[in-house]
Amino acid sequence: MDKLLKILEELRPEVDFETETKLIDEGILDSFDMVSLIGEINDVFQIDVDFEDIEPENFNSAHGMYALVCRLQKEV
Amino acid sequence: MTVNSLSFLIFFSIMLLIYYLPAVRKYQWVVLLIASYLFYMSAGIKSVIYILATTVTTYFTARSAGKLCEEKRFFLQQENNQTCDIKKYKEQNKKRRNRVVLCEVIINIGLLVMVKYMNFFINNLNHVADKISPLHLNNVSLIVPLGISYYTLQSIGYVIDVSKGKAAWEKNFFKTALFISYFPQITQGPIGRFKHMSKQLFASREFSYHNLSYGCQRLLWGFFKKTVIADRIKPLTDTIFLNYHEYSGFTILLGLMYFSIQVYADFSGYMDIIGGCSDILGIRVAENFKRPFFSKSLAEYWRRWHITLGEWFRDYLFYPLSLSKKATSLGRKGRKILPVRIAKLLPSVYALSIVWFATGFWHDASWRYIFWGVCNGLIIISSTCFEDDYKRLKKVFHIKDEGKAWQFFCICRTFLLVSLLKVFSAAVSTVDSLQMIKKIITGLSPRLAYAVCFPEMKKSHLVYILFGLCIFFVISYIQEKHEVRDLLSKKPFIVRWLLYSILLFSILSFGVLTTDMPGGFEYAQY
Repeated sequence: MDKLLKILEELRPEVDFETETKLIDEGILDSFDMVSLIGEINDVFQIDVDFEDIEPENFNSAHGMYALVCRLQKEV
Repeated sequence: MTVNSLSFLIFFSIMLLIYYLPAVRKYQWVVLLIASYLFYMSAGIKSVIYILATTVTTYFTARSAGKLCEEKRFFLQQENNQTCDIKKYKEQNKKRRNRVVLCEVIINIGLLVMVKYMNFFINNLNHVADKISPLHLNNVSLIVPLGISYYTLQSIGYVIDVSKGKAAWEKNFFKTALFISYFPQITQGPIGRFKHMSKQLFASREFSYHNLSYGCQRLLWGFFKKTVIADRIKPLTDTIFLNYHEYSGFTILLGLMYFSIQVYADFSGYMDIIGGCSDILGIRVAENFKRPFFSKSLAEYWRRWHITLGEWFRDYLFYPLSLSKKATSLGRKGRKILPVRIAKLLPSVYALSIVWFATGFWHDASWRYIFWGVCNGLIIISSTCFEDDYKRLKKVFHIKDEGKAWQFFCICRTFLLVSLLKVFSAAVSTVDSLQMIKKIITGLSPRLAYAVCFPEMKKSHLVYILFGLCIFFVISYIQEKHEVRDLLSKKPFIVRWLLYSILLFSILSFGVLTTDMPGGFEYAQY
């Protein structure tokens, strides 16, 4: 989780990712952010986030992203 | 039959009476399907062949994709699978689903290209061939079916969603046909998602006064925008753009600003009319606008304007392209020669370049729309790439993002930029749009005389437009914070009906109550 929070904070230092739960619904992360974020997640966690995983429930919060990372790591 | 015509209102009223008959409650979706095809056939019987072809291919490809998803789910539920088997099976299943999607895309984009883009390719080919050989291909005369650009994207989106397991495939062919042809959104969108629309379209519901009241309010508001603002401004912009060589660059620039407002009032007015009709039927279509002229940047503007088209390109083109192997390797290679921050943006830049080219080309088969798309893409890409430099500059000049004056400046700058880019859609041809740009650059001599600012326009018409714009602005400002219809419902009966009467009186007194263009609405041509 710490690694993920570090990636998120580097991407958007002004956002409190530990409490924010509407990153997609409220447009806090735009499509450019999403692509950079997924690229970083893929590199750091050695997984392959597909575009079909881009769903609000997976990216609305840091916890949702962490759950996705854990699921994809199990599948590798 | 355009949605702002008397014939549509009669058609809709009859359909509504049948729709809410207790005897047909179970079959309301059938009433909608019949009404949708009758509406569609009113634009020409021949067009039906194309929409039927799309419906048949979409039904069968969604069926295949859906079955492959079910097969995959069943396989994964089995307990005796080995990890390597699962991985291999998943890859094979994904390949098969992708082939199904490709089939849907080739057939339907092929149909779209055949009717909408064939002559564009032939003309360009002839232009090149003229210089090297006497070969000359004749243009083909095919009708462009009503709404083909919209229902093609909607159908492809549905099949992709099914193949990715994001939507269940519809087993009833006729229900698929209704999803594709639903009459309020067939002409100009919004481009609906199956997940959002299916539950509503196929449900049975009782008549609701709330739906009728909210629907009529939105309908009235749409007519107001269309007749009092869009159709009143249209003669002014027509005068300027059809005779642009007679006017100064300043008048053309003003014309582009008027045109921005006209297109917005026209397109969002249409969305309110069909959204209102759909509300009365108890079906909420997706929102296509969120006060785009309050945007502080071009990227934000595109998140607020024609939202369903933007979201379609984002979800089905931008993300797949930017997360593709090609884009990822581009990013990795970029890190070796570029600063990390810029290299990280390369996959997005690559995808966005294609998306904006496609967006321009989707609008019309012409070079001017391709230029328009490319210009939009270039501005958005450069503003993202130089974001850090802008931030540094703002720090130097002590500019704070939350400052009211700065926000107002950003809103005006975005409006000006959007209006300037409208030069490609306002002109009749690519050459004319380039000539207009030249006139704006070389002949911009501001002069605030009435004939310069509003050529050949009656002063009374200008008063009507200003009256309409004042109301439009106030309502839009309130909409930024509240749902106007909810606020209105809390007001006393007298106040509500007084406001309805003012709106209706304005439409009848100040509005233009004729339609003299094909489809009646600007975006119907796309």
